[in-house]
Amino acid sequence: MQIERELMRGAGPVAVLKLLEGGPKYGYELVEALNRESDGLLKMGQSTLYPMLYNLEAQGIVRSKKAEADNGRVRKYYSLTAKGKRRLATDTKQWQTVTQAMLALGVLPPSANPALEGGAG
Amino acid sequence: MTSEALVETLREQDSWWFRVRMTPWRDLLCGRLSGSLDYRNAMTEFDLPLPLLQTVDEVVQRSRLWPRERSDVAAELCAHFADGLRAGHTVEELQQSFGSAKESAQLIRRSKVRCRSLGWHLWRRIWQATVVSAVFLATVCLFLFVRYVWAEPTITFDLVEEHDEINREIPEAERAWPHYRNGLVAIDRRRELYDAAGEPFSAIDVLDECPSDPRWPQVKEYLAEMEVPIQLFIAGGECEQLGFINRDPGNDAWTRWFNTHGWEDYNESGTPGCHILLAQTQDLRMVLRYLKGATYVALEERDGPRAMTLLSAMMNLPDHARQSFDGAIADLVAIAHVRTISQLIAAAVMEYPDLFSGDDLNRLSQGLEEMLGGRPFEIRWTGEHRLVDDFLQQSFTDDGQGNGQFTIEGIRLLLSHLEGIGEKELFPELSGLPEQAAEALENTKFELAAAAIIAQIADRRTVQEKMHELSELDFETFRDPLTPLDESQFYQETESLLKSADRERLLPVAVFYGTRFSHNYNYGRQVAWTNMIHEAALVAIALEQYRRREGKWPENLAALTPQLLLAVPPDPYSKEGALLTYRVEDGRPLLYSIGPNQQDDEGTPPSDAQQPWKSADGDWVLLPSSEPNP
Repeated sequence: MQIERELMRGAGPVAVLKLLEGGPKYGYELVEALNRESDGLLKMGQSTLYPMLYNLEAQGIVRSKKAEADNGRVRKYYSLTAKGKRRLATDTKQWQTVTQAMLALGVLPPSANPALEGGAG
Repeated sequence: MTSEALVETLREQDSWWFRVRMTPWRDLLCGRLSGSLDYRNAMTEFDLPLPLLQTVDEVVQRSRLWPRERSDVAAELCAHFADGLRAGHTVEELQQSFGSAKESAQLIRRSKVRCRSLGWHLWRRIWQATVVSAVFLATVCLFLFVRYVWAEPTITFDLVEEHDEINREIPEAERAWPHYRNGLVAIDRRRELYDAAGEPFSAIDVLDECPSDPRWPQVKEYLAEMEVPIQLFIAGGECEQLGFINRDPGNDAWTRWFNTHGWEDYNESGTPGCHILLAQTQDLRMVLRYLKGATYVALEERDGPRAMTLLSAMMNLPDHARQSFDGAIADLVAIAHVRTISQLIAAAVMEYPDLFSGDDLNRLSQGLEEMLGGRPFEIRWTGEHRLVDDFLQQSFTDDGQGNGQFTIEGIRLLLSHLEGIGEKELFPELSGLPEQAAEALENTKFELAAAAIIAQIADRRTVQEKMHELSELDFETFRDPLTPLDESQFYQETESLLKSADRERLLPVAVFYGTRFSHNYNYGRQVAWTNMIHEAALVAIALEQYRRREGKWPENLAALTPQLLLAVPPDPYSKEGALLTYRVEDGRPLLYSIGPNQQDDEGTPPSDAQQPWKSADGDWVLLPSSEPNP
């Protein structure tokens, strides 16, 4: 299923932040993780991912650092900043509220659980 | 093929300028086109197939980022593709999942630019604001340029053509001008005479003073040689109509005297009123000088018939001056002619009575009565209204409803009005205007500073109303002998305008009228003086006629009326309406006006007896005539 562009624009950053909560990741890792953990629903190409990462970096939500990978090649790793952690907590709460509202409205079935849980805490 | 070789294939299309941009200043200064900032250097580290390298290259090229940013992005995208290949994806899959290179480049650029420093963002905002301001300014300039600088005046009538059309109707044989013109060409103005001490002088300088000038004997000899031009002047004076036509081929020799290129250049069609040359009007003064000089010679030689011929020839000169141009200037010259002729007749009759027969006196009296259409002499104002309308049409556009906007040509006209301001200095408020306007127009017609001045100027109708209002007040100054110019309503209104905040809005009015007169002139007094001088000439003839009949001078002027004089002339400077003062003093008639000071100074003349309007002291003595004693 293809997610609407506008919906993806809201969901993409919070999904990336959630993935980075588990530790620093480089671009391809993030693409693969998004694809894998969302069953392909939040799959995004590099043309979307990298501008998003640069934007988050510009906002001080993530930081990048070049480091040598296992194969000896230098990669750029992205990690959450303190501001990014606060932002993830806020966004998570908002998504939970939206999900509750959708449940109450019957948009989501009662058995549905939020796909992404928790935040920083 | 190695990755270096593949990257080299991408570089094949690079321009020389691209290589320069990708080279640090340091290398450029050393003369090396190293291209070390080229982002493709980073791509050589990745073992990618050409299609993926091309995708990365396209994205980075399109992003238009700084060299270091490009290198970062290129390295990151290459690493991404390398990871994808290692994970087992095909080139096609990776290209497909990448998405649009163009869209990606845009998003990458946008997000990377956001990452730049605060200082850079500040600089960019300043630069953007500068560009926006420049565009705004350029738009305003373009608007001003199109609206004001390109605007052309709408010419609907031509003063020169109007004048010429009237004069072409006059049969050639009845025109005085060809005679005058031929005489003027023949008088050889450049000729120098020599006084008793051997000093050179011009006859023209002496002809105003005639017998009272010590150089008169030399001028008399010169006049004897000038009989041909004098005869031509007499022939011209016998014609009723002047018949001057601008750009008449016959005027060629005459116009060359004025340093014009010839008759073709003399007052071309469409010449603005303020630029119309009036050399013909001025030269009628020259004609009068020669006729006057010749009259003195005739009087001294006691040649009555010759004196009568010359005086009769002069009688039409005031009308000829008036016909030379429809405007106050020509009328002022005409009135000056009346003054000179009247003074000359009064002096001739009083000093050489036996040279004139009874018939002669009657003819002189009749000629005086008929000069310029009879008394009182006034300046015609129709021509002045026409000059104002011409100024408006030469300066403004016309929307067909009598309205319009000022033009660059109008600014040029104002400048020409201001050119002589240094000599006039009537209104100090005008002192800064020539420089301002000249600066605005310096070098080129397309000077936008002039457009800025024009944009402030009121519309044609508003300017026209104000000009006509001031024109009427101006006219009053010519008709009012009692009020000095600088106390007149016209002067005060003009001065008030020049000092007011409306000066810029009504700039054409301020300049047109601010430069109109100088302190030296009081036209109302000149006209009043002329009327009195003319009356005095008639009185002189009547007195002589009375003396011949009664053998003595009358006790009062009432004795002359009504047979010899229609009425005793009033004194225009008497508030009580008194008549000119007359009495016999030392056996000679004395006639005077109390003058602008409105006090009877017992007939004491002012400091400048010949131009009494320039001073307020003394009485204006009419008889004996202030004309030099023949």
